[in-house]
Amino acid sequence: MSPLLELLAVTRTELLRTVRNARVLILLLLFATSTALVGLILGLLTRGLDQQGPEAAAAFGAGILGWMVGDDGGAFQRLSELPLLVPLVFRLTLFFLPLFIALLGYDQLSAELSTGSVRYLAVRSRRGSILGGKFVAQALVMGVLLGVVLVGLFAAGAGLRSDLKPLPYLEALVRFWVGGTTFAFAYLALTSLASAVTSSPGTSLLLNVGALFVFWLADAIGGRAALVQSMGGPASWTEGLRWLSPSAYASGLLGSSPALLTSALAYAVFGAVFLGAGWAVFRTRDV
Amino acid sequence: MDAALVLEGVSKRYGATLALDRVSFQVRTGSCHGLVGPNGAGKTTCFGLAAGFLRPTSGSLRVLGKEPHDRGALRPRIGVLPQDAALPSYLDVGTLMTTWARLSGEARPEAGARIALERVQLSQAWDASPRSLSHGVAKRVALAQALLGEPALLLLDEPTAGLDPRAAAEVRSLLGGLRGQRTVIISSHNLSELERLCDAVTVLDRGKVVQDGSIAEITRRGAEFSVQVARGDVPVPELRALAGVAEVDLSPSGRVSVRLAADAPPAEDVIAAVLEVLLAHGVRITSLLQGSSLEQRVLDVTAGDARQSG
Repeated sequence: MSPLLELLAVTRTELLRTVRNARVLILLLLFATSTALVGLILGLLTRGLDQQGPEAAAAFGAGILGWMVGDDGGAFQRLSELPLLVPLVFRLTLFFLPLFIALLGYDQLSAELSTGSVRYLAVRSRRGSILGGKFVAQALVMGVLLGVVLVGLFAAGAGLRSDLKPLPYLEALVRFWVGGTTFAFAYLALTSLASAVTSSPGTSLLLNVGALFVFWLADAIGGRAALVQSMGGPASWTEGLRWLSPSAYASGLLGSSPALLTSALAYAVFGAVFLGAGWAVFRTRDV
Repeated sequence: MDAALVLEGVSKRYGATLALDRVSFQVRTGSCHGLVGPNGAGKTTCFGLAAGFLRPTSGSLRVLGKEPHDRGALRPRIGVLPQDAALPSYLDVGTLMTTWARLSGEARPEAGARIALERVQLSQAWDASPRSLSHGVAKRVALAQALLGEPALLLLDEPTAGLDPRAAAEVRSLLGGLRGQRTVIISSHNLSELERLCDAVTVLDRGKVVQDGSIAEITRRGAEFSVQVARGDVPVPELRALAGVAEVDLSPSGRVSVRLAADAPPAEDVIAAVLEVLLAHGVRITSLLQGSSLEQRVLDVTAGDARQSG
């Protein structure tokens, strides 16, 4: 059997496993519900601002968009044509999505490794196919889920503004989905790496969450150094730290086309590195 | 010897623990070979190395003439039954078996899956959920998976553990039927089962090979026998004086162990002479055993160890 067919066979089996797993279904439901809840709260807030008058709402919206896209004028203009709720909920979703992904897949390999029962090995499947198949299955589920959540979000946003142009609105939906999925795939790859290099689900989750914290910390330290320098302070080597963290590229997903492309590319590279490292360890380790 | 499995000076270390210490043995092609020993002896590690799940720390290992990690060459030729029989519960048995058959490289996965299930007499389980299967039936499904693709080498870790007597007998019968057709390596604690099924065994203890050879060699069938007596005085000096007898021991439990001399006449002649003497002295006999049981031998060679050989 060719590696591709083998990967597809594992993917198919893992897809069935994922959609029939009660824990996974509950997590997916939790993700959708929490996104809806964030949307509801922010929707109420922005509605409250609207009632204070268009100037107050515009000022608040400009402040929020400025926080999200910085000095990317093109992105600012494009996002301001959307209901504020849509980019805001999307940006907040990106914040907790990595943790959700860790909870979704931390035991994909580690659970079977802990009991010495990786069934695919009994039929001598390629280890790359096992790792890859599990990753692709979760990526497909995540891609569909993000699509569903974004469609819901954009539908809710459409109810808030009557002056939306359908085609640009649809284009924004596609851009958000592309950005969101590349972001999710990179973190799914990190989860695969953690699960492939550890021998128990608990250690895998700990490693995954630990890595998320380190990435967040690197981004925060680097971001602070950049802010200090932009305000006329001294340059610091710590500024470069943020570019080693996937968290640093999240805001680019809302940016103009070059920024989106750069961020998507960065997440693709992070994903490839994480998955490649997972494969390098898993193919030679004792199972 | 045409060997299906060759281990030469294989050591395997897990951190500070040396699980296998320069282990060497061979398994003849077409034979049924047992791996026995107390818990922690290194059986499962040997099994994992042969299956390609583990890599040796040092030494060399050849499976069907190839490196165990040479997956491309070995995949269709090795069937593996891991110790853990837990089946994934998200697919029915038929779909699960078909998936495994596809991954095993079967040209017609569903047909191959059905044939394998038939061989373990589980055709009726095709639509069943693994969740509804008893441990014994799940084990047989796992055995069917190991049989997919008509592998030349079968690696079976505790194939009858947890099975009820009837199911265990069926599995033994199935394995007996494979004798001579393919090489079967069984890691098991069930020594009477191995004695019945295997042509040869390797006894491991604390990571070392302590005995290796054919069942006849290890149980010394041609070299000794024992007679269990119920009552009567055993004439030990008279038995020692018989032609072909090298040594006679009488245990407190009434077991008379007779070791044959190197130049002894055929064993059955010596047995007849010993029984004649015992009966002439009014000794009442309850049983006769040629050689020692494999269990006794394993207990002997792993003696001094507090661990259980279950």
